[in-house]
Amino acid sequence: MVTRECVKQGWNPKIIFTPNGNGVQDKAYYEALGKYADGALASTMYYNPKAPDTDSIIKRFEADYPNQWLDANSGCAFEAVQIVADAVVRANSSASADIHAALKKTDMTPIVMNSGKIKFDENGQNINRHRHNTTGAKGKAASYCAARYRRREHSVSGPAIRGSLMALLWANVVLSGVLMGLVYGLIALGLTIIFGVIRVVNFAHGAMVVFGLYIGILDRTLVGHAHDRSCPNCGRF
Amino acid sequence: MFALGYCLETLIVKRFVTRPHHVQFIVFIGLSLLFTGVQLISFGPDPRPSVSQLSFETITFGSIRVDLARLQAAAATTVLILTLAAFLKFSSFGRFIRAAADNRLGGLIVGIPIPKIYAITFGIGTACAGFSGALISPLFDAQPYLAVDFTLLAFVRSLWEDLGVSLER
Repeated sequence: MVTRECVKQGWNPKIIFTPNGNGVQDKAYYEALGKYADGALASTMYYNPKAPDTDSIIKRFEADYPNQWLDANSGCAFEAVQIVADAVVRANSSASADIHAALKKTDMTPIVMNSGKIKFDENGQNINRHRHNTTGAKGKAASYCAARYRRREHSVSGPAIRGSLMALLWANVVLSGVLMGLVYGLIALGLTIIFGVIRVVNFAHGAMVVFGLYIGILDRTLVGHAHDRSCPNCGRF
Repeated sequence: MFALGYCLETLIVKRFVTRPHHVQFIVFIGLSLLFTGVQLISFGPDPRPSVSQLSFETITFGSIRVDLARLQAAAATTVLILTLAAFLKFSSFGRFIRAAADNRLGGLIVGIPIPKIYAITFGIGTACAGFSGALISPLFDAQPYLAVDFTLLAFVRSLWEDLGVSLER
């Protein structure tokens, strides 16, 4: 959402950085923003592209879930299953207490995630975990070391507007508010006309609005409009 | 959306028009939950962005920037509201609708087809909702749980309008 507004305002920041953030490395972010998604930085859990099994795991993951990416969540879940399996093997029993004791003594080399040897402290935190920097390139989250970092042109209008910036900001916000208010007015008009004539309160009105929202999006993605031909992700729903 | 509203009225709402208010509330909250559930099943719970160039375009007036999508939505809305107002005011069907709103029994006595009018009115209301939903689709990431927000917003707006009308009187 923030990135979308940046694009609208014609401002191309050199770096968008989210320390420990979610979202930027997610698939939805790239689908929403298309070519504008490139260049955002995130510091997060991520898979280690140099680990020996990573490639085959990614391939199998993509074969099983063609609409998903192996991201921080699925990677961590995979690793967690591996850790538990490792603990069960070492405990050599299926009793809960034995497995817990074995889990506490975990000392294993991670398989996909980027981390040192996995060891837990008394609070259950992995003491050797690593943060990983990712950046978006070519419409996909790539790990930082592998990515070509593309710089885009700067188009800030500069100091000319700085003097009356506050007034302009106000005008901008008020105008968008009024325009948005007209649409809300139409929604309310629908509700009012039903209430005024039939004398029933339609609590399902919002759900109908959301139906309209989905229809609009379906129309735009499946049919596509003339001026949307350039949009990279059209036809993918 | 008009057809949906029309069918909804003739199938369900019609049976509850003369019932007490709390019964109607239960019906409509149930309907709302049903719709949200249907949307959850068919589109999933994740916010779904619209992949469109329109989401990124702006128009500049001097140094004020406005979203193109927002401007289009507002323009279309204005046209629609004015058309609807003219329809209610000048056409004979609009006069029927106003009569039905004024007095249901009186309308029935003088031979206005009240059930049909109710169905069509519900259809118009639903069509308004659907149309505005489609208009704001470049601006919002669609998600089934937005429904509650929109209902609340519409309520607040209608209350304001009622307040304005009662102040004018």
